[in-house]
Amino acid sequence: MKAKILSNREAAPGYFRLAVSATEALLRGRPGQFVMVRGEGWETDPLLRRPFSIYRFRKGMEAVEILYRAVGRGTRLLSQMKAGDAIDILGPLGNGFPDLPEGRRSLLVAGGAGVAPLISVAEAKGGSARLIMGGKTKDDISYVFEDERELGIDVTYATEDGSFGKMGTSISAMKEEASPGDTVFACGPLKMLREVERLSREMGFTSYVSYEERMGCGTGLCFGCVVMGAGGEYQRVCKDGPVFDVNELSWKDIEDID
Amino acid sequence: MVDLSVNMFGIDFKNPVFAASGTAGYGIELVHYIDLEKIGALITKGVSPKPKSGNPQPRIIETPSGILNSIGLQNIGVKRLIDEVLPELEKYDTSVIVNIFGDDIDGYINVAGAFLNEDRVDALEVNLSCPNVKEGGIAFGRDPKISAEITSAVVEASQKPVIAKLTPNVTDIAPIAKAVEEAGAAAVSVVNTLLGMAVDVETRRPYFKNVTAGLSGPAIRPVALRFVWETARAVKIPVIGIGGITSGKDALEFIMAGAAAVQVGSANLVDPGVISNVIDEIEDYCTKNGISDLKEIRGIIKEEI
Ligand SMILES: Cc1cc2nc3c(=O)[nH]c(=O)nc-3n(C[C@H](O)[C@H](O)[C@H](O)COP(=O)(O)OP(=O)(O)OC[C@H]3O[C@@H](n4cnc5c(N)ncnc54)[C@H](O)[C@@H]3O)c2cc1C
Ligand SMILES: Cc1cc2nc3c(=O)[nH]c(=O)nc-3n(C[C@H](O)[C@H](O)[C@H](O)COP(=O)(O)O)c2cc1C
Ligand code: FES
Repeated sequence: MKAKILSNREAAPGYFRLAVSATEALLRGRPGQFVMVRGEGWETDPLLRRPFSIYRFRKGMEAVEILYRAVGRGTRLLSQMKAGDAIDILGPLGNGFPDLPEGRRSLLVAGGAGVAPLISVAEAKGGSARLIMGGKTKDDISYVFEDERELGIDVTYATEDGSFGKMGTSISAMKEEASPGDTVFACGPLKMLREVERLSREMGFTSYVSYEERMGCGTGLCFGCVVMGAGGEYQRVCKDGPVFDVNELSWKDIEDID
Repeated sequence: MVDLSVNMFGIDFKNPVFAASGTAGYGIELVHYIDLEKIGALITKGVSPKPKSGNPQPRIIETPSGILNSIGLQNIGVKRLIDEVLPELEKYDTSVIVNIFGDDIDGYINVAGAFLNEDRVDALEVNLSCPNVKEGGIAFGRDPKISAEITSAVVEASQKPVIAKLTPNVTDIAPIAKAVEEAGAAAVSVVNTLLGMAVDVETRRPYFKNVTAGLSGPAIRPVALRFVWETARAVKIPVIGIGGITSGKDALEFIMAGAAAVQVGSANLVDPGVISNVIDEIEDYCTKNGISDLKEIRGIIKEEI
């Protein structure tokens, strides 16, 4: 689907917010779903699209917003694109987060750009969800200040260097706040997701993680993006996920690559 | 009106643009993005006698205009394909070709035999690029004798038209194409992925656990085109051209080099609706150039050079 870039700006050093015009179908997406994106004019190099979570559904503007970190070739090219440029966007893809059980407290636990699929959850849930936003430094978390203001959500910030909020990781902050019966939605580096899994077992809360894997197609065609499921069968992250109940995955079979 | 239909081994295909094995899932995944009834044929993901879990992560990396993949032929096995996938495909008026492989000749016979009474399947495509475990992982398809042996065994076991899918990882493809033709192949598909590799310079390790992986996409197109041209000169059975096709113009190159039909692979991963564009672009080209039947240009350069 061809779309237009409405804006593309650096919201914190290295982190960009990209707003693109969106179809009805895309705007009806669930929090936790993602899109596959490539710039028009990329020709065949880079060849593949890049996956990004839907950060904000901007229904009034008929747009969606993506938050991305410029890490490699594709995201650097993306960061050079300007309002008015054409972009090719496929989505909404994947399963998205389940609805939160009524009357229960939910914690949204984010590591760095892993906050991307969680902000839209917070937006949909209003006051009943609390965001725990962790990063190495203030730069890794500060773009969320805008969303906190706009959406009126409760946020706990944590930085590893102590430059803002609590000193520590989103996991150490979560340990202080979580209690049995909570529902945790998490997205971030694999190490962090492993901790979420362990703590949910030990402390007795339900957890859903948005799992990240290198993708080829994002649409279930290539079997490039798999993760080992608890039943001993590889699951396609793009189609069966990216959101999994932590109990659906076989954590001992998941290797740390990247 | 341009007639894009092709008849190969007694089957009428609506047009000569097929979805390549492994890049269209089991076919069901594609229905959200393209009208399955528009494509010439759907070739399903390769199936083996038993389910196969495939290789560990990472499985995919991008290269300049290409993709290296190490999926490792993950599949649900022939039984589930027949029980779960074929009934779904039954709903669409589309030609279905099933891609098959085995660990040894008995495995190929076993999986082929399962389709004996499956009328929904128009033909089998035999993946000859699989590693022959007994021979130290060298692909079956590098050896004309073994390629012929597998081909005739599959023909006999399935009673279906058999398309032999050839590996490009050989010096000379013509003797292999001739061997499978003599063994009873109804057509040949040319080519599978090229062996390649990638190194992670940070960890100083090969990027893939198996070290080598299969290269596909526009990066391989000129090489694939050469293989198709060489094969078309060597055999009388139809040649189905594969390798880096993303547009009608790309497909026409293969047709002019002698391909009766083409398959679109990696391009589906970038744009799951791309086959529809490829068909429209071929049709446009024909209309503009006063071509009413692709026969007029098929293999047009085959004998000239
Ligand atoms: C479902 C899903 C949702 C995602 N959502 C977001 C998001 O909202 N915001 C965001 O900033 N990023 C997100 N990512 C990660 C993002 O897709 C990668 O950062 C991006 O593809 C990198 O592209 P590149 O061309 O810049 O990097 P490349 O040049 O292709 O690679 C450079 C480096 O980037 C890293 N990388 C590449 N691909 C991935 C990947 N799929 N996952 C993790 N690391 C990768 C690797 O370390 C690699 O060495 C998401 C990934 C998935 C699978
Ligand atoms: C992810 C992926 C999976 C593949 N799986 C199979 C397979 O199961 N059987 C097979 O014969 N070929 C398989 N192939 C090879 C393709 O069908 C095709 O021959 C090759 O990719 C070259 O075409 P392309 O450049 O258009 O992709 C696979 C290719 C890719 C990229
Ligand atoms: S990325 Fe192709 S199946 Fe998930």
